[in-house]
Amino acid sequence: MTRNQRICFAVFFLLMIPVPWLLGPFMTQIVILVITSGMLALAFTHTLKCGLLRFDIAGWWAVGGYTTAVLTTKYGVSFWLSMLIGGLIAVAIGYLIFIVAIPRGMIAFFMVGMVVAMIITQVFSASEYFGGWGGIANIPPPSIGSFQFISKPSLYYLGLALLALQLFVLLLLYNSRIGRAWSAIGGGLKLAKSLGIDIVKYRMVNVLVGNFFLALLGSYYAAYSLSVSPMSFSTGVSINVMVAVLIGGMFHSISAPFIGSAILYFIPEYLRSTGEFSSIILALITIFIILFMPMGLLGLFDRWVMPLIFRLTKRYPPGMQPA
Amino acid sequence: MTLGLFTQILVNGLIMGGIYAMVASGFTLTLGVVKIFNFAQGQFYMLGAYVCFGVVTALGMPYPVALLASFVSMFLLGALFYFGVIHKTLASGFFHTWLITVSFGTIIGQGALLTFGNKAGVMPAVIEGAYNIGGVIIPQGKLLVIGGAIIIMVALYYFMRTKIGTSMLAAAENVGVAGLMGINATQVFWVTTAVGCALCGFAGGLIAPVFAASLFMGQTILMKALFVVMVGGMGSMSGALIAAFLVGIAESFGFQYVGQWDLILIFGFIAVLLYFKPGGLIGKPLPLPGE
Amino acid sequence: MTLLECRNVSKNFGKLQAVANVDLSVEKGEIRGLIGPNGAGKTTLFDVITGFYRPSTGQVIYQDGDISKLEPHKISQKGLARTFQQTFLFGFSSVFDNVLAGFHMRCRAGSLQEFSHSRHACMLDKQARDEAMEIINFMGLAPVQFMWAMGLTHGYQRMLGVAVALATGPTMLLLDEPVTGMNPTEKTQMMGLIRKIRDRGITVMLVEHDMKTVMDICDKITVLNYGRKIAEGLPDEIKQNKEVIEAYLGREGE
Repeated sequence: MTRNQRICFAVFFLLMIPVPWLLGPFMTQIVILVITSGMLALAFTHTLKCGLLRFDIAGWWAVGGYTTAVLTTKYGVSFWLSMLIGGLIAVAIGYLIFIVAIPRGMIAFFMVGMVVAMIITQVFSASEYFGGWGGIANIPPPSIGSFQFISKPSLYYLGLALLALQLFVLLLLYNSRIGRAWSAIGGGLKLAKSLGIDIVKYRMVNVLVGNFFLALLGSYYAAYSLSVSPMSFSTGVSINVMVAVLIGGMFHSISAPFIGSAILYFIPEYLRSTGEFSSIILALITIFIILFMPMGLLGLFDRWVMPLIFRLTKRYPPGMQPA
Repeated sequence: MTLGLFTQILVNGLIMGGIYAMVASGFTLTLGVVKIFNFAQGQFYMLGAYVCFGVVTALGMPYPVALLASFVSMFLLGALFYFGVIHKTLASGFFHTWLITVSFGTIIGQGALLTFGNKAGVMPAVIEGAYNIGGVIIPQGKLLVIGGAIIIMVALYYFMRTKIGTSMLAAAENVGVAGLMGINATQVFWVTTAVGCALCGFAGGLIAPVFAASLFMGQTILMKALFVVMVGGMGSMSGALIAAFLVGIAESFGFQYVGQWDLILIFGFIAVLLYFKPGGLIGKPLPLPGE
Repeated sequence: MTLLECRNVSKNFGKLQAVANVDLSVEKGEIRGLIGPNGAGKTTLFDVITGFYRPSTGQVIYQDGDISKLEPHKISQKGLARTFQQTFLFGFSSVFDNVLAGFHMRCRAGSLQEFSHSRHACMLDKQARDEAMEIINFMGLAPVQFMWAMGLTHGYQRMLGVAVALATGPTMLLLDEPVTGMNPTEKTQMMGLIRKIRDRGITVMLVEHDMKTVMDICDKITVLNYGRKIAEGLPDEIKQNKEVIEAYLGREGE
């Protein structure tokens, strides 16, 4: 990790630690929601790096959630083990499916993702083993020894730990040769091919890493809500993720998902007052953003604010000196 | 089961097959030529159905005129949609264009629901109740749908051989080279979008008297069209055609026998198929970017 | 020894025959020119050789191995690198990062070591960076090494394209219009660099429209027209070849 990244990482988590104590239980809950949505969106930008759009986020999230639900309620497996198993299942199934889809290109992968997510939710909702439309309830909360993760603060720290893990792993990857290969693929497919980069292999690794973390998130969701049902894993989730990334800005793979998710969380609050018009208004907002700020908030920041900062501090990044 | 029941199910399957063929062709065309997913296309299907209904009931015109009205109105609306929306976002990329079509689809769908939802949730099924039973068991009305579908698909086939049609295919292969050959990309794009929407509108008009129109039909048809396009090979027109009828028939029989698992059967069918033949069924696919 | 060979290579797009029955062989240490009027199929031939298209007929042989059916990245791994007519670069990355990207296949530290940033991986990374600097200096890109690729002038962009291809450590380099759009100073500079590249032991084949450059720098020239090879030989022979002159004049008259 670069020095800057290490600093940001440390500062961010130091700031996040006292949140339950400072902001109280209600706000803590909101922060948890924003963080989890942010992590889902992070999976999207992660795969965007190597030039793929994924529409199957809700599906793998569901796999993790249901694996934990089934294993803990029906077989008494420990939460932590079920989390790991969920991750592995998501990777295995993902491998089998994507081995066919990835070589076919970005659009095909997008379509397959869409269908896969729907199949997964369909299977979970139609089968009695998975609780049908009602889903599975009464999931035992995770525990270490005698301590149970039930209180909001404890769940908050669990979520924070998950976030730390995800960011740590991703940053490590992004700064390695693997990450550079992903950036190359995302930056120019033909060029990357001519540089000896095996597009299919690297994309597959990227997607499967995403799958793993999505499943972990699903397990966390199960622990948090103590139940899973097909309705929570609908296509709407995947679309919300994409709108969040759009709002945040597609080129900033780590910060944009969280900023976008935070904003997207507060919009529905104001929309609730409009009632039945809410989805139309959200659609209008999306359209506005696409037409007038396609690069998202961070894109605007880059375009208008950063030059000011450079001029003020007289410090320019290499290569951007005014002549 | 009786022959009557079998024929009934088969005919229903063919009807839906025809509808899927039209919608999926429109979708594939837009995908292959303009290289975008037009997710609003489902709503054009719904609008076409209601235009047809409106023309027959409110204006008192005969059914064929109403069908024509569906086609033309959706064609114009599609063109408007292209210039108003799609053209502006093409430069931003596939993701942005797709998301904006989703947003517009939502607006049209929700807007229709809010404006008309209170008045009449589901439009009455039978416009042409006058049609008697033709042949032995098959209602003439249903045959009409199949006939209409075949006619429009044949028309599409010949259209693709006209000057504008071949321009579309050339642009699908390689927009840059097509431009060098004098083909105006914008023109090709708006025509393609408009034709795709018109096909959906026409399909909506065809299905309205038989299976009833509802304000939700846009969303369901979109999903089905996607399955068809995937099974038929993304970007392949002939594949979409064959897949449409296969899916329609499979769905019809599946629903009869397996009930709620029919959807899963179809998905499984897609999955197995794609596994062994990733390119979809047959036909030369229109090239998609990113390969 | 023959490094690259095309045996009866054709490429059809539907009814259009972009490349028709081309036989070609390039010796190690050569600088070979590939010329022909616009649309003669030169870039298509490059695309076939480097695996972006499969030949419709015939074979492409590199270092005695059949590469006709290989994917582009596999062909690059065998030591055959190329530049693109349209100058593909990573626009949002610096010149240095672009060249570094080219070292991808040369730093094989194994995925786990890469992930954990082991000492071995870091060492290889440092080696790559040093060598990238060396290539940047060689190509004269030092003054702009930190600039974003999209901000470079056309001439520098083309040099960068060649630098990135060099970073892959090739044994043969295919250059697609290396000097097109350059001013005379840049052209001379590039020509000198190409000669130096050959002196480093890298065989070169280039497509070019600038006749002066081609005649000056190439050991041997192959001429294509409408996808077919119409002539091949030393620059002086080609200069006087009637068919070649006609091909160019005939095209200009259209």
